[in-house]
Amino acid sequence: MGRILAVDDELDMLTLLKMIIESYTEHRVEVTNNPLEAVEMVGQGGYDLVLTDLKMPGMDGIEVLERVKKMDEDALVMVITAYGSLESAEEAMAKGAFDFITKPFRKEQILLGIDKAMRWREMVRQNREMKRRLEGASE
Amino acid sequence: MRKAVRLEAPTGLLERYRQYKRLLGANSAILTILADLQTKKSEGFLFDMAYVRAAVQRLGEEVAILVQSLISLSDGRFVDLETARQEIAARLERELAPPEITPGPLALPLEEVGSGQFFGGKAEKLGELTRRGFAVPPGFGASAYAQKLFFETSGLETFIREAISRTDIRDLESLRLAGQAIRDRLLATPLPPELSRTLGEHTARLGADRVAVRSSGLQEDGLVSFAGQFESVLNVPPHQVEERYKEVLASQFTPRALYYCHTSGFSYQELAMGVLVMTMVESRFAGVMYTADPRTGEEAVIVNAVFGLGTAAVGGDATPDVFRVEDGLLVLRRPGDKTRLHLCAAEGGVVERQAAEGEAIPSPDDAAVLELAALGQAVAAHFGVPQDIAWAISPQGRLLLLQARPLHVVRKEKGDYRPPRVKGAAILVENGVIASRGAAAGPVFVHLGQALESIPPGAVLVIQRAAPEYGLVAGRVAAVVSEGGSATTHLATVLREAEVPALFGVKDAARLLPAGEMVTVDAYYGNIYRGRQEELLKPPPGDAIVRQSRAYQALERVLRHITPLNLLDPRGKNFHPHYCRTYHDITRFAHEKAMTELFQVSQATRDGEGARQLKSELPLEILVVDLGGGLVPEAAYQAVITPADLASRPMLAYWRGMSAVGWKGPRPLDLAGFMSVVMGAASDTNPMDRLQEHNYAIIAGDYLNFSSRLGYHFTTVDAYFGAPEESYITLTFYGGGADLTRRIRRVQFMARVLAHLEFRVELKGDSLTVRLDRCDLNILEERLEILGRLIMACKQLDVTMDRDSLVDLYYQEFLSSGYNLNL
Repeated sequence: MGRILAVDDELDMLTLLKMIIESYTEHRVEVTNNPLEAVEMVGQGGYDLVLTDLKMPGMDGIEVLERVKKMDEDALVMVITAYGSLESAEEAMAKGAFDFITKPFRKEQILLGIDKAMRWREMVRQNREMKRRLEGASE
Repeated sequence: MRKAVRLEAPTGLLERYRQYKRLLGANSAILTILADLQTKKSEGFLFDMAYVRAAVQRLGEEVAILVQSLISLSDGRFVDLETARQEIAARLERELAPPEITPGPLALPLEEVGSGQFFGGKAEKLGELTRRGFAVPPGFGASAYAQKLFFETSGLETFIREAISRTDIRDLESLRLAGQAIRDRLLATPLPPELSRTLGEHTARLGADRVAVRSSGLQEDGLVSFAGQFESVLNVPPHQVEERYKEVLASQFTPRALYYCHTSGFSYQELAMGVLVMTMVESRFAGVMYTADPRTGEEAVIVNAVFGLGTAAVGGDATPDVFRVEDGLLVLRRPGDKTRLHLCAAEGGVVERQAAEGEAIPSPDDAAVLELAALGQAVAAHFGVPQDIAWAISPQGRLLLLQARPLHVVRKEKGDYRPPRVKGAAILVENGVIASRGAAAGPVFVHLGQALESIPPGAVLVIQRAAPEYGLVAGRVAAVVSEGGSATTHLATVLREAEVPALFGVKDAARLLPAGEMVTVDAYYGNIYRGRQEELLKPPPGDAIVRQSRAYQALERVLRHITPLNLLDPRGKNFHPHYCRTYHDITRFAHEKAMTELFQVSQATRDGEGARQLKSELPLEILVVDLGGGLVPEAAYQAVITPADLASRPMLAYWRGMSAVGWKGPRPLDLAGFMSVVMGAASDTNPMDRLQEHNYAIIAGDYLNFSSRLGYHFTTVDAYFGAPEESYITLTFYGGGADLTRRIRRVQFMARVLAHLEFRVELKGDSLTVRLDRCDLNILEERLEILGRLIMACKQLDVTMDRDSLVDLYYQEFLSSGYNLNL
């Protein structure tokens, strides 16, 4: 069970994301419509994945991504783009986003994306654990 | 004397042609947006209000272009269509506007609170339960209108607006400070006397020592980002209700809410809330229960309970006891850690008490748990979906409901609904284009021009072209299979609207699907199977989550003004701007009329302006007006052109047909034929004028309007070769040199040939109108070439038609000779 933070200035989208993800997976979703608050929340730690919209007033999703990555290089961020803004999605990928999804999307697209991200996270965790054990053994 | 020849097409005509093209562009954009909206609605997509608003706006812009183009094309004749458009646009705008809080009661006893009165979801649900006889503590609701009145009459409204506009959305601290300033101001502002009096009266009527004051937001369930943040104040002495009411109102001005108001441009009133005041239950036990297992959806009631007030569990101060009830039996009892208790304080409010070492904290007994579970199931049965319920047990042992809302259950299936693929059944058709998703079974009915009324109910209708007229039977047929057409046709839109499964682009469907045979149309995968395939026919489970969303409901509302098609039959009495109720109606009307308008405009252009002479082997005087792209570039300055200069795709096709048959000179006449011509000519007012009339071809790269008089009859061919959905060929043919009977025999012959070639044919006396549309461009091109052959072959043919049997003879001859008449 993972902890996901969803960031979107559209309240409907936040509602849907929370309800869909919590209904179809065992992950818990916290939401905020304010990207600044999102960065603050990530700063407090504990999220396995951040889902962020790209186009938001005040601070766009690229900046959220950059700030999150600055705090935690390994943080997983999936960006949600509006239809027809593929360039920003490409920019996000270049800046370290794990994946992107274009609005409107089918629920299975977001669920698959989350599944992929969570599996990746688990692999990285196991990898680290193994490395730690190996290092411990060699000392 | 002939007028001087200018090489530019007349500006009027050129402009109309441009308007026509503009209209076609808008038509195609509209149908694409329509298909997209319907897909997003029916196929489980997640979208937000921004998507719905943007799509409706784009659609509105295209419809405006479409209507303006038709009005320009018709010299203002269809100005009524603009009125219809404005009415629909206004209706759409109203559907998308946030609900405006209208004046109503400031407060009502809980049992009188119903939906649609702006009391908020929590109060409305409890009001409903109270009326149904469920045990709910007595209480009353204060409406969102009460808040509006408070803010507007006290100057708070202006203060809040200004505070919001001064915030810096890039600075969280500024949002927090603005929120604090608003809350401070709100708490310091007295309620309007009317509201203060109303709250006082309702509180007094409750007669309770203590009450609970809780938020009941209009959007609380929908706007999860704010839910749970609103204040609830427990154990309030009656004289403090007014102050606590204001505290609950103040709790809505969080940084998130202010950011939302600032950035969305919405008024904070969209977040306005009702407030619920209920008799305080100083509960012995309290907690929540789910009437289904939220992690699996299994049938079970799960009860969480704490000793004292339920806030201990909500705030995470205590781990509640957990009980699981299945089929009326307690199957699980897991005691919690309840060392911290929440209790009512004597002076009001809630106190937390740490349990003493070794103190036994009671739990509800089995009988109480089973009774609770039965109560929960009764509530769930009443609302029809699993519920998430807050409950309390009074010191006297009475069970009470404090809140009920739909429970979100984890679904096992992650994927979008698709039935299993059918195995082992005979596949009659594969890879059809899915025009409307779903599956249905029925006996095949192949429509070959019979009256639409003859199509039996429940049939799988097989058609050659996806003509909009078939929309008339959408309510009657099980499924539709069309040999032509795509998902963006009018018909596809209508079928999706009516939820009739449909496969289009199924080549040879009429041959592959035996009439009368039971088949199953699988418009999930694009196949058609022999017999009924029950697995496919099960109804798909709906996605309740998406359907609950505000954006989905808004889309559903706006689509009612967009997709239904009422103007199905161009010959129907209601085919008039006055009857256009939806954007789809407008689109259908404009598209149909535009073709007629362009045709008429082309017909009216007969003064030779901008015309060039087409010299060929055919002894015909043909003047050509090019609207753009109809001639090769080298011919731009030539007043006289040859067939080699033609670049118009429809003109080239027609010309190939005409020149293939060639000019045969006058037909041999029998005596009766000779007399027939003499009589016909005698009734003609000015035969010499007619013979000197020119043949006109108005062309563009994709357009042809060719009017000719070959002999005595009159022919106009109008063809447009653009996108397949917009392309067509029409022919109008009438008159002749012979008597009426022979002329009628000639058009009968032509009608048979053209019907064989899948044209829609209308015959009236000696006048023939035909049309072919919605098919592949290569097919249109081939048919237009054959039409050219037919027109040439029919030249003066009427005079020879002295008996009925010739109709069939010529028909057979024309087809067997490779489209010629070797007479």
